[in-house]
Order: sequence, then C-alpha cells, then structure tokens
Amino acid sequence: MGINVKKFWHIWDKIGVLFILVVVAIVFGIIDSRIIEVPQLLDAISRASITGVAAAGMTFAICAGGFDLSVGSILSLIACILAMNMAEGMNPWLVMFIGIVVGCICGIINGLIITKLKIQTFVATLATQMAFAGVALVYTKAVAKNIPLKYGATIRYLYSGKLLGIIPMPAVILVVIFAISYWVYKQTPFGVKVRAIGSNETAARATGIKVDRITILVFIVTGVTAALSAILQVAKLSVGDPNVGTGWEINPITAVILGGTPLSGGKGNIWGTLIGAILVEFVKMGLNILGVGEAGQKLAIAIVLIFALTISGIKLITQREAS
Amino acid sequence: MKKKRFNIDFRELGILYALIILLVVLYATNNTFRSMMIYRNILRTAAIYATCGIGMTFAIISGDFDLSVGSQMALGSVVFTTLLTWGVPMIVAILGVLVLGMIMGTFNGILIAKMRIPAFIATLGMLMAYRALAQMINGSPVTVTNKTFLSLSTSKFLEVPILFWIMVVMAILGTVVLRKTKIGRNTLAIGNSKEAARIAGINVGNTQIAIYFIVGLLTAVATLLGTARNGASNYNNFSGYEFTVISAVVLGGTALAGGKGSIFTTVVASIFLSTLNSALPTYGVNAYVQKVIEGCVLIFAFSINTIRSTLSDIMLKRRSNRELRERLKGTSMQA
Amino acid sequence: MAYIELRNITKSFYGVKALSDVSLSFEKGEVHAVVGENGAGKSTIMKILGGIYFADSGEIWIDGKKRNINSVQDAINNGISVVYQELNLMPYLTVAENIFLYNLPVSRLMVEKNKLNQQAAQLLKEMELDIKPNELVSMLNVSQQQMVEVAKALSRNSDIIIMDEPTAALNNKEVETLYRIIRKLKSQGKTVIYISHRLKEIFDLSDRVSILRDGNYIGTYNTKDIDQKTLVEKMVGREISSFYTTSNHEPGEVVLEVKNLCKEGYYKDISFKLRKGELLGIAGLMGCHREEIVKSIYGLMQPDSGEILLHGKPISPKSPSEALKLHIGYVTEDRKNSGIFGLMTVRENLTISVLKSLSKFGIISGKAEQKLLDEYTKRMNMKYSNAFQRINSLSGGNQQKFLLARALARGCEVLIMLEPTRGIDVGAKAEIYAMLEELAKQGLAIIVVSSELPEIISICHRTLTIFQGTLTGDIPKEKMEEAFIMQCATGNTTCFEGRN
Repeated sequence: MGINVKKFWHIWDKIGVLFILVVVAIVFGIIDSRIIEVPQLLDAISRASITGVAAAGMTFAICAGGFDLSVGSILSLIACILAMNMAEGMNPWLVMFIGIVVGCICGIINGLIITKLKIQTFVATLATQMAFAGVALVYTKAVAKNIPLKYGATIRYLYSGKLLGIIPMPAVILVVIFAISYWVYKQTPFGVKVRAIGSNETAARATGIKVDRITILVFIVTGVTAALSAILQVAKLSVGDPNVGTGWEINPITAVILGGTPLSGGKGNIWGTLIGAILVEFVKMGLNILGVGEAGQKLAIAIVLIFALTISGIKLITQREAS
Repeated sequence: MKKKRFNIDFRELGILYALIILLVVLYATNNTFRSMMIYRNILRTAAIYATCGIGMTFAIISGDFDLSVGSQMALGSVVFTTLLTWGVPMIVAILGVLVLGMIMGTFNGILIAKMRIPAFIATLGMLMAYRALAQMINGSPVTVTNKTFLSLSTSKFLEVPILFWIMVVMAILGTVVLRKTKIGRNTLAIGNSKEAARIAGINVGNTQIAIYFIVGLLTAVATLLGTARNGASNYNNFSGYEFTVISAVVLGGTALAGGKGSIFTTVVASIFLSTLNSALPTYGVNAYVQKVIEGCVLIFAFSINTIRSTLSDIMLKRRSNRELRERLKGTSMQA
Repeated sequence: MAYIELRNITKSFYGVKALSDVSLSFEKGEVHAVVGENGAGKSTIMKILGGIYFADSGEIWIDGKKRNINSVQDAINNGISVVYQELNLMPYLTVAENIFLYNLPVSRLMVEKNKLNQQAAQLLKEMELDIKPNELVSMLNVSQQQMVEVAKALSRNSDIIIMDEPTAALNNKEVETLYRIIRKLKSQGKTVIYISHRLKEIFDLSDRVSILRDGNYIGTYNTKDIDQKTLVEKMVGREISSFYTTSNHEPGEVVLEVKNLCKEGYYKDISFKLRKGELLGIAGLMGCHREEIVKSIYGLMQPDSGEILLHGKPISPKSPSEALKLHIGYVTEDRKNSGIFGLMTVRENLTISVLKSLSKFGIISGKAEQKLLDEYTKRMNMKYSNAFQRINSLSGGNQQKFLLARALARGCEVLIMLEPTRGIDVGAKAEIYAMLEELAKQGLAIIVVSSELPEIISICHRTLTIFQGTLTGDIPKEKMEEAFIMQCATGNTTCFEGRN
C-alpha cells in the first residue's frame, strides 16, 4: 500500500499539471469554443513567456528550499531601466545587457542578505521587494515611461515577431530558456547541489558542499530570469511602468507549484513549471474572453494556487500515513 | 527567593528607549516637531498599524504570521462602503466588517492548521484572493459620508486622538488575552515548541485557527479605523500594509521564531515607525526613497536576532557550543 | 606508536561531561569495536573524529602526525569516513549522485552521467549489492538506504572507516554482505572502527574491542581473549552508589493492562500488566522502539491492533489531551525540545496543563497559579530565584522537576517517565528517585523507560526488556541484575517470570 501511494504521487508530480491543463482546456472549450482556437492558444503561450521565464528561475529557488519574493519588484525595476534608456535612443541590445546585469546585482544583494545576515529567504526577499520597488519609483519619479515607436522596434520584435514567419518569438525564447534550465538542472553539478541543499541542508553542509555560494548563485538565477521577463514585458507593451510588478511574483510562484515542484524542496519539475506558466496564462486569457475582469482573473489564480497547495497538503498527509 | 509582582524585563524594552531618543532628537532639531499637530497625526497613523499589529503579534508569537492583512483591510473597507451604499444602518455595517474579518481569519487558520499549507504561502495566496475580491466588488473609490463615523478620525479625548484610544483599549484587551487566558498561554506554548505543546495536552491545530481568528478580528477593527481616516474605501488601499505591521512586531522585540513577545512593544514600535515616516519628508526625502528605507528597516529588524547571537558568540567564545548549535539550529534556506 | 591515537579527549555539552580524558588507539588493518551503554560516549568520540564535534581538550594523532580536525572536510582530508546512524541521504537524488556528491565527475561544465553511473555501478558490484545506480534513493527501502550510506564512505577510499551501528536496519543477508565488505577492507590494510550493541557481531568481526563507560575509557582487549559475560560486565559494571533507595512496598491491584499491542514497523505483541503503586522499568537498546510503546499509551501514536485496558475498560486515546483526561501523565526524555517551553516562565510551565482549573470566567488567576507554584516548590524542593524566571535558565534537574510537577498537577493515576534523570546532577537525581518512591507509595503507577540500568534496578519493582520491538523479558525484582537485563535486552535470552 505504501509503495502504491509513493508511486501515485511520483507520477502526479511529473505530469499532473499537464492533466489539469487538458481538463481546463476541455472545460473552456465546452463553455466557449473560441477560447481554444489556435490564435488564442498561441497568444496564451506568448503571454506565458513573461511569467514562464521568471518561473524557470524560481524553480531553482523553490527546489533549493527557498523563495524569491522580490522578482516582481525586479521586473518593475528592469522594465523601467529598459524604457527610460531606450526612450533616449540608447542601443537596445546594450540596454538589455545592462538590464540583465542589474538583475544579477539584485540577485547578489538577495543572496548576501540571506547568507551573511542569516535571514530566511522569504523574509529577506520580502524586504528587498520593498527596496527594489522603491528604487524603481525613484528612478522614474513614479511615472511610467513610454518608448517611442522609432526606438522600440528592436525590442518589440522579441514579443510580436515570428521566427520563420510562423513561430511567435516569445514561444521560442520560452522554449530556449526552459531547455537551458533543464540542462542546468539535470546535467550540471550546480543542479545536483541545488537539489541536495533542498533535500537536507545540514547533510549537504556535512558533505562539504559550499551552501552559501550555491545560495547566492540561485538568487542570481532568479534575478536574471526576472530581468529577462522584464525584457519580454517591455517588448510586449513598450512601456516601463514602476508598478507593473506589484504583486506579480505570485504568478511565477504559482506556475512552479502547479508544475509539481514540491515546496519542501529537493526535487524540481522544470517542464512542469513551463506547463504551469501556460496554465496560469491560459486561465487568465480564457476568463478574459468570457468577460471576467482583471480582478476576477486574479481571484481565479489565487484559488488555483490554494487548490494546488491543498493537494500538496493531502499528499503530505497520505504519504505520512502510508509510511 | 525574591518575590516579583509583575513580569517586566527592562532589557526587552529597547524600542521604547529608541523611541524616546528619536522624539527628543526630533523635538530639539526639527521645527515641525514642536507643534501638537504632527504628534496627533503620528498617533493616528500608529493606531491603525498597532491595532492590526496586536493580532499579528499573536500570530508571530505562535511561530507563524499573516501576509494577507493588507488585502483583508482593503476588502473589509470595500464591503463596508458597499453595505452603507445599500442603505444598511451604520451599526450593521460595522458588525458586517467584523464578522467578515472573523471569517477571513478562520479561513486562513484552516488552510494553515488543517491543510498543512505553510503559513507564508497560504497567506500570500489569500493576499491575492482578498484583494481581487475587493476589486471585483468595487473597482473605484467610494467616499464615506456618515459624519459621525468620519469624526472618529478627527475627534480627540484629552487631546489624544480617539483612534489612538480605541487602539489602546484593544491593546489592553489583547494583553489580557495573551497573558491571562488559556488561548494566550497556548499561543506562547506553541511558539516555543509545537511538540511540547502537544504532549502537554494542547490542541495545536485548534489553537492556530483561533490565533488567525484573532488576527482577522483585529484587522477588521483596524479596517474601520483606517477607513475612517481615509474617509473612503478603495480596493487599492493598504497595499503593502502587512510588511509594516510585521516590521512593527519584529522591531518591537517579538522574535520571528516565536515563543515570546509583547503587545506593548508592538505598539511602541508602531509609534516609532510612524514617527520615522512623518520625519523623513521634513528632510526632503521623497515617498519612494522612503520605501527603500522601509525595506532596509525591515532587514535590520529581522537581522537583530543574528546580530545579537553573533555578539553573544563573540562574547562567550564557546566554540563547542556554537558548533553544536550550528548543527542543531534551523537552516537559512527554509521558509 | 599506534596508527591512530586519540589522546586525552574531553568533551562537555552544556556543562555535562560526555567524555572525560579518553584515550583510544587503533591500528592499521584491524577491525576495532567500541562498545558501551547508551550515553557512554561512543557516538560523541566518533563525531569528534568525524569533524562534527570539536573536543574541549585532547589531541588526535594519525600516522605519527598531530592532526587538526575542525570540520567534516578536515576529517575527509585526513582519510576518515564515517557511516552515521542517522542517514544523511538526499531522497530525490539518485544512488550514484548521493554516493559521489562530494566529488562529481565533471567535464565541460556538465556532470558526466555515464561515468558517474559507471563508478557507482562498479562500487555497488564490489559490494555485491543489487541496487541500480540511477535509482532514486527515496524509492529504496531503509536497509538499502543504509547500504548506500556505507557505499558513500567506501567511495572515498579512506584509510579509516568508522561505522556507527551499521546493521541497525539490515536483514541477515545484508549483514553478511557488510561482514564481507569489512573483511575486505581489513585485508586492504584499512582501519575499521565498529560501534555496535550487537555482541554477536563484535565477536564475529572484531580483532580488538574497547570499552567506554559513562564517558570514561575502561580498557581494550583482544576479542579472542575475552568472553561475552565479562565484556558485558565491564560495560555496565559500576559501584552501586549508596543513595539509590530500594523500594519496599507491595503494589496493589492492576491499573493498566496492555494486550498484544502491535504497530507495524515499531513493536509487536506487547503484553504486560501495571499495578497500583508499582514502578515498572522498561529497558532496551537504542532503536528498540520502547518509546513508541509508551507513546501509544499516551495517545501520541495509535497502535494498529491490540488492547489497552484502564481499570479493566478498553481505552484508545487519540491525543495526549484524551490521555490526560484518562489520568495518564507523561514526561519526555527530551526536555529541551519537547518538554519545557524554554522562553516561558517557571510558573507558566507548571500550570500549562491545568489552566482551566485555575481560571474564573476564562481569566487565569495569578493568585491561584502562585499558590500552585508555591505548593510544588515546597513539595519538590525546586530551586529558582523568582516565579517569572525563564525556565531555560534553570538547571536540568530543576527543569525535570517542573515537568514532573506539571504532570502531577493534572492528577494522574498512571505516570510515564522517559529517561527521568538524563543529564541531571547527582543531587537532583537522588531527589527525583525519592520523589518517585514516595509517589509510588501513595498509589501512583509509574512506568520508567530508562537507559541507566542501575536506576531501574534500584527503584523498580519489575523490568520489561524490549529487543527490536518485541518483549523479551518481564523480570521480577529478584532477577533484576545488570548483566542479566542486558542479556535480555540484546536478545540473547528471555525471562517472563515477572508476570505472576
């Protein structure tokens, strides 16, 4: 009996989210078949790229047993840096590079606070969330910055362009980022060590793994992926809004949890996160078509998150009873 | 054996000394701080933070916390004005907000105690849910027209704003519950060791639900005070409130790990933060830099524990104890 | 000079001495067993060699050179590998990843999966284990996980391998495999230090055996020159101090009866009776699951089958709260983590289970609390400076008295105490024994789960012994003698004469 329970959850962790996506698609399709038409699906995948890229990075953080709550503010900050500088005519590739560097710096700040001041991850990133948001507000003097058409073409291509004329760029970027993430997760020592730390940090230390160094790297990953999300965000709307990321971190976190990465760490489901991100955007888009407003969409995502967590809780309880 | 009547440890009142020093410095060097008006504003703002903080103190003492209080306040505020717009009598509207708070609190408690969802992510999810609900009910601000209600914000009693007095009453009630009732003792016990509490016969799950009920109820009171002050409701209000409230609790000396704490220090810390917020603009610090500073204050508050233990490590020079503690203490990655 | 020498090692934890001036030496190419009762210091000294603890004083010499072992990495660098009792495995990593975690084969930024699996497969084959290198550790059963832990230590090719109770979770076939591995290591000239309670294994495997007792070094003998009886005597032998009292009253009628209690994975077919005024000891080795038996009586666990009868009526407490209502009390062995509320006052710690009776209209009466505190302070001679002192500033003995008082304040007919005097100074120990005596005389039925045999022998009327979850002894007072109890506790013999 015990082994069956283990096996069930093992399989669910791997493909449960895909199952949910299919069910949701069918339900939406029945209610309003417009939702599952190809253009809509491609649009959902494009939107999912923004959440998805950051979610790929977040998977590492959660796998290591921590969280990065500041990604929303990093998103705002980088978006503002991109907009403010591109609007002045600076080379877009240079600006994007700077944006990624800033994301990296934010990650280092997070990592240092956590490892040197020995503060728990979510508390530390709760604080940096406020700090980074403040920096974004100061930088733009609280006003969203538009990128004029002539300067925005390059970056806009990243969102509205189509590779080979058919495949939307964001989908390409999404798949590339996830492929890289999967490779890092599965094939590099970094990936193995992240999982080790998430499994049992004390034992990992006892094996000689440099936990502090890996921790800082993990937060650099979340910072950089948040910066990449910012690039896509600006590519989509050509606007750098210091408030765009407020409360946004819930999206990548939900994507990761839906994807089957357990909160307790030690195990990560990279491709599951991708499906999770698509699921989140798909739900929002479907509700939008059905006439549900922005608030209703947010409520739906919150419900989906709580639902996913409840399943985690049930899993925990049944696993405990089976052993 | 000495007989001590009351249990007050003067070493734990650091925030009180800090506040006194801050006030003295401001009074001496800052013109704005010589008029009564700014002090009244400080107390009004602090009253709202502190009322919510009373509930949060319970949660943090028990080893958890609630990230959804800001959204609870937004939702409560919107429900309040909606009820009034429907012509519901003031008393009923007030009761409605309180009941809503109790329901939200209990729901949070059930997620955490029965569904075993970690406190921070459960309340993070509810943060989104409650705010979304608020926006769904009413996407635009609604002003409150009831003069009596609004007068709560402006009236004074003995030169001190009524809002503050209400908070004081809540604080006294809260302290009595914490120190002198079974539920208060159980809260402290759980914060010390859930396992020891279980063995001593405490129903840990039910106590946790009760704690979140208290958080919800006091947050509802804070909602009413806050809505009176704002004069209006808006789904966007009270955004980020939870961080300030948690900061106040931790800055006051209640450790995030739980097991001990005081409502009095939460109140003092609320006044401290409110004073800081009022003082910064007078030095030309704009609102957004203030946010950055708030973030740094939060980091400082949370690292107090680490700073303290590093200092005591250096002072004691007990290497063997330290490495034993290293092996046994919690780890930095776990939320 | 010996290959490895531990010289004059002393180590204390929070003021309690775990090791006093212990000197041990080990040679190359030998299997050297270290034995002693629970708390004798075996694990501590191994953790010092392994770099997890740091000795207060003393030196470690290996191969003629003094070594500084301040961390796990240092120990590994000095050729020391330890297989600990607690498994340090990552459940979601594969077997191969767990084994070579410290030293993953890397080329061009990537882990060479094939090489890793090959290396692991090789090692597992040498160990003749039927485990696939790319299987997740979480999918293995406990005994397989233990073997992976052994593989971890072997992977480093260390010269010194320490094994702490390595066979605890293994079945016979796996024990044979382990024997083979150890013999091979010996033939390769490595040093194997083997800690175990299982005397059979010690006599099967070791060349020499060293004995620790109460943190002191007793002696080292060639295994073939000593017999089991003598070995056990040296492990437990100590002067019975005069302050141990002997109980001299007769127990009354049966209060609690346990019938065929079973819980899969923990204990099987446990049956015994407990009488009014009786002090019943339960002895056993670490890991024999006697704690789980008493936890099941107190509602912290639920048995799968069997009955618990209180005054003849069946009970099944689902939580400590229910057990307390049935007048069953419990004092943990782990004061610090599951006993006291460290940051709360002494008064609060005492009254936590009886708040209802001290309250009027929901408000706790400070006066009533103080009265209860004064009553128990006097009765149990508690030492503290004021009622609002934090309990974690009290000595271990006083903390224990408070935990006992907490259970008594609630009023109980049956009291369960685990390790009643662990980490407590001599004076407080005597007081607690006297208190337990007195309580028994007044009619309280007490179960004492303890690892200190002299304690059980002097205060208990009867002793149960548990070996690997089964009841191997129900020993009456006349036969309660250290060596004999140890024989039952190690599964070498049985005795059920206490049942009459």
